[in-house]
Amino acid sequence: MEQKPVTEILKQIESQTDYRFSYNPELLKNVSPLSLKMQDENIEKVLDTIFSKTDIQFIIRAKHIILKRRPKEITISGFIYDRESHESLISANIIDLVTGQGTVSNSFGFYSISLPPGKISLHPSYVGYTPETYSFTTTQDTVIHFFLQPSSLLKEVVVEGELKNPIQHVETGKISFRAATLKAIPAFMGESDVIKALQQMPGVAIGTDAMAGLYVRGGNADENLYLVDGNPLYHVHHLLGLFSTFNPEAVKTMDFYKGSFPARYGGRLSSVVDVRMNDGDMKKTSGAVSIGLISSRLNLQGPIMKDKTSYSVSLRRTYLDLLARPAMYFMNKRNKKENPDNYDKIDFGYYFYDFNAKVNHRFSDKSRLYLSLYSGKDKLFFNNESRYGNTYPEVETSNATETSEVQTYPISTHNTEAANINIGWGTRMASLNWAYAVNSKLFANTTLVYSRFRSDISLYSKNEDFYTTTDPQTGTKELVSTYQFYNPIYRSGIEDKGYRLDFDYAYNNNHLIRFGTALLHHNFRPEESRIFRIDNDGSKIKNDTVTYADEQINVKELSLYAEDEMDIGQLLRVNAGLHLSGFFVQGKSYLSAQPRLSARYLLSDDLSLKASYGRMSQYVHLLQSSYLSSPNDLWVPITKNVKPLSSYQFSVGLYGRYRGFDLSAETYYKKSSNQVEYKDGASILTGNSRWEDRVAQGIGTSYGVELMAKKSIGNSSGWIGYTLSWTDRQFPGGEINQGKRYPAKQDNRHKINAVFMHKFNRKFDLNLSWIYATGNWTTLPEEEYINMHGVKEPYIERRNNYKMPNYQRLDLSFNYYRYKKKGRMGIWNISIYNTYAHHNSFLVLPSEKFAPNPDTVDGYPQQSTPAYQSYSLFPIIPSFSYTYKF
Amino acid sequence: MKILRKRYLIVVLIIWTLIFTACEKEIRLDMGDYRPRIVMNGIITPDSLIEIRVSKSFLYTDTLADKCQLKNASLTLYINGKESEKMMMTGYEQHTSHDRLGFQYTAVMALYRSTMRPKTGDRIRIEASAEGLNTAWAETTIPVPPQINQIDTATFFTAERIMEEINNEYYPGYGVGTLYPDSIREEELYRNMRIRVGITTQPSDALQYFMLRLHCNNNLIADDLNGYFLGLYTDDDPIFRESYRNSLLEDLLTEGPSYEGTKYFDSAIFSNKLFRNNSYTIDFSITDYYPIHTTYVKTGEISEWGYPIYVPIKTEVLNPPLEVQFTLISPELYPYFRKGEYDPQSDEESFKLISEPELSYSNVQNGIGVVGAVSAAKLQINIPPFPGEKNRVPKR
Repeated sequence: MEQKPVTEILKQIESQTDYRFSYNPELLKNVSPLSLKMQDENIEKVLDTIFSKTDIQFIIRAKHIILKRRPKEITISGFIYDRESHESLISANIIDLVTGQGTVSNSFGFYSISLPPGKISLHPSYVGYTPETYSFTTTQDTVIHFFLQPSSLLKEVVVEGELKNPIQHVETGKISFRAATLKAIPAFMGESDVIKALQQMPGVAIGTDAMAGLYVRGGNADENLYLVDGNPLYHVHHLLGLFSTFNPEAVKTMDFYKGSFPARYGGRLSSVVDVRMNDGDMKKTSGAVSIGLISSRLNLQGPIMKDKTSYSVSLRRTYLDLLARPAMYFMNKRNKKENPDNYDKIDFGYYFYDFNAKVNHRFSDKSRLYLSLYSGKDKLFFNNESRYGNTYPEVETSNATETSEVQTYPISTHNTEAANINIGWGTRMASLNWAYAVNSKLFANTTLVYSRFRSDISLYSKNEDFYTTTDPQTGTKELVSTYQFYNPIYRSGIEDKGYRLDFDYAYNNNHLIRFGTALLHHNFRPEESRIFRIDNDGSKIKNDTVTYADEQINVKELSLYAEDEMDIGQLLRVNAGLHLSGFFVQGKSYLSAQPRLSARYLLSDDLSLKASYGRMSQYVHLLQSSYLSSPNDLWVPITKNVKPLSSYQFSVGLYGRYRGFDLSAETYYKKSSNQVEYKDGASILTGNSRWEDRVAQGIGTSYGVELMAKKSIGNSSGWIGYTLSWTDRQFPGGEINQGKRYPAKQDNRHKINAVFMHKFNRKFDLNLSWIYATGNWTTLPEEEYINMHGVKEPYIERRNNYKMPNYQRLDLSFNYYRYKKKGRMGIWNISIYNTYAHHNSFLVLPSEKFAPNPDTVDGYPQQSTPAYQSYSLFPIIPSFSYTYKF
Repeated sequence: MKILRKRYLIVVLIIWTLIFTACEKEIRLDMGDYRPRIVMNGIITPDSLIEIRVSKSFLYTDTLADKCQLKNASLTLYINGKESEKMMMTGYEQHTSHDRLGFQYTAVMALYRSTMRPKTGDRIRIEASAEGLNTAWAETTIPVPPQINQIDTATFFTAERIMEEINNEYYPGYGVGTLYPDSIREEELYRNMRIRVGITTQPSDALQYFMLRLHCNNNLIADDLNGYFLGLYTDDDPIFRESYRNSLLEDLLTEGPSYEGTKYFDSAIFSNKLFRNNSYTIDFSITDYYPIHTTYVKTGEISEWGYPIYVPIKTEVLNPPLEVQFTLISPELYPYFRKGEYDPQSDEESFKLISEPELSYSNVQNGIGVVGAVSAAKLQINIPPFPGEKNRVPKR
């Protein structure tokens, strides 16, 4: 039918079917004529087509179809909180049991749902909390805050990893954690670690044993966007990467995206780790003190003004230096006392600390202000002072002439040598966040952010010599002193200042629109390298300052984004967005448009199919030559010579539930361009050549399949994951591996993770995690030859030519809870890392092996022959900690 | 200072050792199908006989004494695409040394020589075959030497040294330093020479690579003196930026040169990227080009360290001619020269543990080694007699 009035179309339907329509003729008066051509279609689909763009709804009752005006929807909005602490609950579900409509709270606990006026029955729920139902009747927009009661049964038991139902949500490769899960996964030295928990997920490579690096779907360690309350953090490791900077006591939730990134995230290629910290208890003061082998932690939270302002403070510090330094002090004191002219003073130590603080002030039900502070630092120092003194009664000297005359002089010498090494690196961050519910549909979040990362290596040496000579004839004493001072420094750092505006607009239940903008001003100081020197040889003084590098790069980074998470029909949910970014550096502008699309199609209530596509750009990268995270690693921006990194990723996955198992299977293909790596032979110590000259840009390709099964039965829960993946690199410019394709270090073909958590009763629980992966790749000289000069030289034909032995590790963690009065509790934790002491190669090197000498009786001296040796960092490591909660 | 630097090294090594020696285990590589490769090395110069050293590669774990020796190899020389001759084996060369871990080894290389003398512009191909091994071959073209058009020099004085002294004088019984008779005094300032060399090369579409050296021909003045290459101060000319620079941290942690050393080299390698119309004027400076020669006599006495004591009796300032050697390197040799000589005992090798791996350079197909060619242009700079006052010597 071509351009017919709707009334006529309805008559046609009545004539062709048994259905009869009931409606008020006024209702269809303003409906435009339309063209319709349909055959053998379901009546619902036909009516959907006719009325979808009108304000008319239809109700089918047997063979009667009633048409009526859709009631104007109202919006219910508010925040969802923990009832005891008034901490906002992120990603809490809320469903209207009458209409079946639902939504999820945002990062500030804010929700907004559009419903027909009348009877409403809202059912908020959150993992670890007792679900509740609130029924009421309303005909206008309403603000309701929900306060959920933590479930005593679930309080200390970890039974769920993810907060949102993975079948329902639209993103591929997204995993959500809450703090309890992160803390439950057994960890190195008993130190729970956000990043190491992520290493237990499919698609994340093992990196180096015990190190907290994250290599997601073939990406490098610098391709992960770490956000703390929305603010990016660059350096996230302590102690060469053994520990991450996230203090688990301060973490509330964490979302990890490895597949499709929503458009609101930008700046990295491989993953997003979005960590939200505790806001602080509005009702009462509580805290926890934890003492472990490596570090101690203190966490305090409570109200500053009850129900108005709260704080949360966490501090973690290692204390080996505090124990060792007094001992060294007394040892040095004794040495000096025993021999004041000849003594050695030694003082060395290492520590790291993290300090997190957050103040949360509630102006009103709609408006909140958050101040977040973070400071973390690693410090390694070594101080040595030696003093030597001697008095020689007679020293012969001769004048160098033909008529040489020998004279004797009493002489005394004093020599003082001092050497110091100071290596420090750390991050400071502050952000001021104003979250404001503009109305029941629009939520705004404004952030001012400042962060600073600095790394500083300073070597210092001083050498003072004093010679006192006495002329035997005149008795005159002469003091000659020489002095050498040598102080090289090496620094790098980044300072960021900027703002961000984010808006959530719940247009209706079918459209949640997010949009925003951010402007960051980066001040990079990739390398500052100088030497200060003073040389006094007794007659003249020479002062030198040599500057090798002192480069500063000022950059502006602007981003805009918009995304719409929409329901298209009952089965299809789509998140479509666009992230636009501009990077303005050294007079050059790099602009990028990054489309993001992810879709979920419900095949049944228990099975969904998801697909996603995303383009990403990255404007900063880390120059790191090994898996170890060291202060010599440089965060550098792209420049007029170094192009932006970019990538695209496709992924498709099936998510389902079968016999209580949450199952997922996901496959991905990722290709990145302008990947930055050090050129062949580049030394991480090469501080004098410019960093841009030391790097090459190339292509990275990775693809694979990830399978995961999770289950919770009674007091037990856990998951098992398997990854089959390929990752390689190619540098067509020929700077690396002569331009040929080669496997990336983290090209682990197979990886299996298993995590099991069981609570025996209120007092005891046991957590296990096991990991197996094919080994990392390394470059090994397998062959040798005689070079032009007759010298034996190793021959290396290609990069990453040797796959290290397979990796496996079982970690155990056992907790004993002692409940005390007034809700206080003591928790004993015993952890065993690498329980069956598997030798996990950190490094394989050409070396030598020793065997008894067959020609001697005792076998000594031993004979050595060339052999390859594998070095592992950590055999079995037991540890314990005690936590007191109050 | 070196003692202190050594201390840094020790501290760093202790930290690394603590980390790395947590646990070690021997790993056996599956190299069951390993087949050695032919190794060929040689640098060809125009109008000279070609000499190629031939051996075979071996596994790192190979402990056989003659593991590198290749007997009965056959080398065929092709010039400009035509088979020219079978090269003759003239004997074996042996080098005994120690590797990085202290293992002693004897390298045995067969020496093959041509009877032909190729000319500039000739395309050379050498094929090597041996029973049981894959045939290997290498190709190179003998470059046409550059032309030195002119040399300008100017003397200038500085209060500080422009580069560290690299030809330290040794005086008997003592060591390094300067020791003159009493009557001799040093000049107040350091004497340096700035040199500009205008060169022209043959037109070429491909990148050309050059090496610059300056030889102090001491040996032309007296038979008992040795010639040496002078240090080149190259910071004034951007063409030298491609040259290797020492690393600050590397210098600190190893016993390499101190920071002044970053400015000196006794050779500089660069390309023709900045040439215009195949020409360029290279700008560099030298110092210490007036060698100081001191004669010593024994006093007959013995020092407290047990060495005979010498005294200086005569010091003279020499003015040997300097030879500018401007060498065009075939592209096959450029990576070899740029990398520098391999020294297994160097600290640099130790630091490779924490550096990106470096692939071995080879231009021998199916085999290993470097076969390339060079052509040098040379020009002499005659240095006038030392113009300083009597009894004065250049400041060192």
